[in-house]
Order: sequence, then C-alpha cells, then structure tokens
Amino acid sequence: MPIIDQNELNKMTAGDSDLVADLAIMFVKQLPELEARIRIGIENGETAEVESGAHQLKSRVSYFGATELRQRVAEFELAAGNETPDALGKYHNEVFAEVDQLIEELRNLTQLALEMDAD
Amino acid sequence: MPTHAPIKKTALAKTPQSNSAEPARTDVGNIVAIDDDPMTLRLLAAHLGKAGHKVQTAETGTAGLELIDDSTSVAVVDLKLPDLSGFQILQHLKEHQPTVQVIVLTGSDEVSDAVEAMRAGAFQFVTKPFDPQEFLVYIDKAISTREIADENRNLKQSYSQSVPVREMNSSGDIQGRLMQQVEQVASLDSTVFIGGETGTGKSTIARMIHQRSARSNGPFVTVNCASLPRDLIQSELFGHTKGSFTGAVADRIGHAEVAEGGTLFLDEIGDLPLDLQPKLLTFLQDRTVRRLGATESTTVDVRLIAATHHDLAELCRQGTFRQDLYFRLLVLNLELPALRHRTAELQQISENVLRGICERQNLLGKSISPRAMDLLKSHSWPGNIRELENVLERAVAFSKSDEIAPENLLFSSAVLDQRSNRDTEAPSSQSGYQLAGKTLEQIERDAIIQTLKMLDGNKAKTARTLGISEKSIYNKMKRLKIEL
Repeated sequence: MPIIDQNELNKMTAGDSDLVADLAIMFVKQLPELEARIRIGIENGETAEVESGAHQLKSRVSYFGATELRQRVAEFELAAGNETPDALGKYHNEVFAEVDQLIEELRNLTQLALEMDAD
Repeated sequence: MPTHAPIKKTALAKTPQSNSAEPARTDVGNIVAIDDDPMTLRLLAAHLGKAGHKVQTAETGTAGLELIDDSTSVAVVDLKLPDLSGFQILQHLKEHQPTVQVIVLTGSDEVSDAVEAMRAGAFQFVTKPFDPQEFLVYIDKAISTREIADENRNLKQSYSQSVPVREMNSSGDIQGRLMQQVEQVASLDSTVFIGGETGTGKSTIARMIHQRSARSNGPFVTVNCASLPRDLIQSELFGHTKGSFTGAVADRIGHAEVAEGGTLFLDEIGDLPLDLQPKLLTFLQDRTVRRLGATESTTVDVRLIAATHHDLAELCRQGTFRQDLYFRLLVLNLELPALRHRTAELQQISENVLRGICERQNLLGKSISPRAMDLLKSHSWPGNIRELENVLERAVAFSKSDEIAPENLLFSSAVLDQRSNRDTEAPSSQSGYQLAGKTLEQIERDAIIQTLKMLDGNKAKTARTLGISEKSIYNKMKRLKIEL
C-alpha cells in the first residue's frame, strides 16, 4: 500500500515537479533533527517536545498527500500527553518506519531528479 | 531508527499535471506569509506567486511583522511560532494595521483556536494541509475585503473633511429667522426638505443642520441626483454586489451605508428618475437598503436631508415626481428666499461675504463703496448668494485699492448675456453681422470696437470680457488702429 496518494500530491503541488523536488529536499534535510527531538523527548519524558515535534511532522507529511501517515502522526501527537514512554516509543518506531517508506517513494517518484548525497 | 541521508536535486522528473482549473481571481495583492515551517512557506510562495501575487515570507513573528506595511493586503499567519503566537500577531495588526486581512493557517484543528482567531478579527481560519485552490479563493476574498475597507476609509475621510460651513450672519430679519429654524431642525432627527432657487445656499444649510445635530460626529454624505449617470444612481445610492452588472468587479457599499451614523444629503432630488423613486421611498420608510444583486437588506441609521431648486408640487402635478415620496420628504421644510427678496439685508450679507473672501485669501479687510453698494442693490441676482460671492471675489481680485468701486463689479449674468450674444448673434450689437468673407483681423477689430462701445470705452473690462490681458488690448488697439 503506497504512502503517497498521487491525486492528493498533485492537488497539493498543482503537478509542479520542481515544487515536489524542493519539498522532498527540505523534508529529508530537516528530518534528522525532528526525529532526534521526538526521540529525546520520549527518553526524557518531555511530552511537550514530543507533541510539538509530532505536530510539525504531521504538517510536513501531509504536503506529499500521505493521508494515512498524517492520521497516524496525529494519533501520535494526541498520545504524547497521555501514554507511557514505552507506548510512545512504539508509536515512534511505527511512524518513522512509514516515514522511511515515504522517503523511498519520494526517491522513486523523483528518481531522475534526486540522488543520494555521497556523504 | 534509520538515518536519513540528505538528497539533492540533479534533474527533474515531470509529474502528472493537475487538471484543476485556476479559480476566478479578482486582483493581485501583497502577501506576507509567517510560518516557522520552510515547507509551508515554499508551498505558499509557489501557489500565490503563480497566481500573480507578490509574496514575502518570514519564519518568525518578529521578522514577519517587519515585512508588513500599508501596502500589505493579506498576512498569512501560523499560530505556533518560535517567538510570538499567531494571536499576538493578529492583535498587533488589528491595532496598528487594521486594514490588513489576516488568514490564520495552522496545524491546529482545535475549535477553540478557530473561534478565538475569528473573534480576534481573523479573516479566515485554515487548517493544514490546506487545499491550494481553496486557499487562493480565500486570498482573493481577503484582497477584495481589503480594497473595500480602503475605499470605505477613503470615502469617509473625504466626507469628514468637509468644507467649513459658511457662517451666516443672523442679525437680519429673514436671516435671523432662518438661523433659528436651522437650530430647531438640527435638534430633531426627522427628514428635512430644503427648497429654494439655485445658489440660495441649500447645501450650506444642509451641512449646518448636520454640524449642529447629534449626528455631527458621523459622516455627512452628499449625493447630487442630477449629476449621477442615470444607470449608476441605484448602485451609487445603495451599493452593489460583485457581478450584479457588467463592471461590478467587487462588492461595493452605497452612499446610504457610507452615511451610517450621520446624514445623507440628496441634492437636486427633483431630478431623481421616476423609476428609482419607489426605492428611495422604501429606504425612507424602513431605513433599509438592498445592494443591487443582493438578496438581503441591511438596516442603516442615517438622517436624510433632501433639496431641490424645482417646485416639487409642480413636478407631482406633471407626474414626474411621486406624491407619496413628496409627502414623505416634507416632514420639516425650509424654504430659502431668493437674494432679490432680501434687498434690505443685502448690504450686511455683502459685507459678510466680502469679509469671508478676504479672510480666505489672507487679505486686509476691504470695503464696498456706497456707489458700488447701490449697484449691488439694483441687481436682480438670478444666481443668488453664489453669484454674489463670485461677483465680490472677482471684485477683490481686480480692485487695486481697499475699497471696491463700481468698475470692479462684473456681474456673472452680464458676462453670460454678453457671451450669449456673441454666440448667437455676432460680436457686435448690430444684427446680421457676417463673418464669412471677412479677414480674421477685421473680425478681431470689430469685436474689440463693439465691446469697447458696449462697456463705455472701459479698456480693462473689455480685455476681461474678451479674455485677454489689459496689456494686450492696448497692443491690439494700436496695431489695429482703433481710436475711441
């Protein structure tokens, strides 16, 4: 089941491939910092950080038409203030596994446009 | 957790083009987008820029506020920012840039946030992910609202910058009674009808009533029914909605709504087309207006003053003015007397008018010689006070001493008669003057000779009448060998 809903992506970007590529670059560039912020937040019990990080991730994945993933991140955001660190860790792993899939789909989608950085 | 290596762009793969059509748009605007997420800013800049808008972006509230100025149409603001909250930005803009329309764009889908934003004056509350086509429609609407707000502000400013009321001296009998009536009428809130010949000061009296009334802090809005194009009167008076007729590119409120809280002065109401009179009657009865093309009416709080130089009763008899509207207008009636019926007060009125002219022009006080005053008293004043003001203003301009002499007085009606004679007959008093076959020099010579004769040889008056300088008349007389 693909993460990216192509129709939603086209609607969001008006079929502008330059725009899709730019957004993909920005998303991947900012992702390590965002992931670290959420992970450390869970480890330290800083639920506000987890909630805020999940909130940002929710917006960003939505721009690629990742409707199901957005819903999952929204649940993660909601759980941040209510669940135990273990449960949040589980949410984290599941969400970021899907984020990896999203990135892979973005690479496939823009394979003529993008390549991995050598370093 | 896997590591996410950065990727870089080397070439482009084309993705399928969207089939969605561009929404109908009104105008381009200056837009400032404030969001701490660069992806959101990139998306906004792409869509708004493609639609022709000028877009500036900022990742913090402080930086965003620095970008906003009077030229900004719309601010797109995120609620959660690193330094300021979206609500703080909204509050700041409502206080300092109230015409800038604010669209809140946020990841929060909390109803309470939406309610608070709208209460704080946001134009629209949009949650992420936003639909770009829908978002452009919001932007267009916000720009239209901004333009209407500007237009209304400008209209109200222009109306509030009223020309100073020409204070009328109240010591004379007729004038004293008139001023007493003005004070009484001003203290009430009923419709006023002002009758009187052209130039008797109807609009001045209307403004005085407004400025002495409890509505004096509100706008005074004048609509001249005779000067508005027939097709636009309804739209000008009551407004229109976008698309209600060709050229109605945006919603626009009418003068009746602009006058909210103040006074609406309908000048030359006798010239209002018969088919529009029922709409005015409805307005007078219900104090409601319905914009052209709108389905709902709006209640307005205005006082109506109407005036005309026509005999409205006679117009009713002729069938060109509705009797029910006539009676609805004649609640409080002021009839302004013609100047020719006020000869006993003419000296006092003339001196007051002269004083006002000298004050406006920063001149030392001038007086009117007894002979000049006799001349003023003997004139019939068909143009009433307006004509008297013009005659005295010309006299002030041409008199070289502190006293206005008879030769300084050039009556407008005399000029009109002279021009009329020139236009319809000939440049002379003799009938049958033939232009054809004469040289231009001969015609010029005849014109000067006949005008000099008509004005008893007064070269200065002749020059003014012919529209040339005094120096020119001497030069032309010399060149054309004219001796009188």
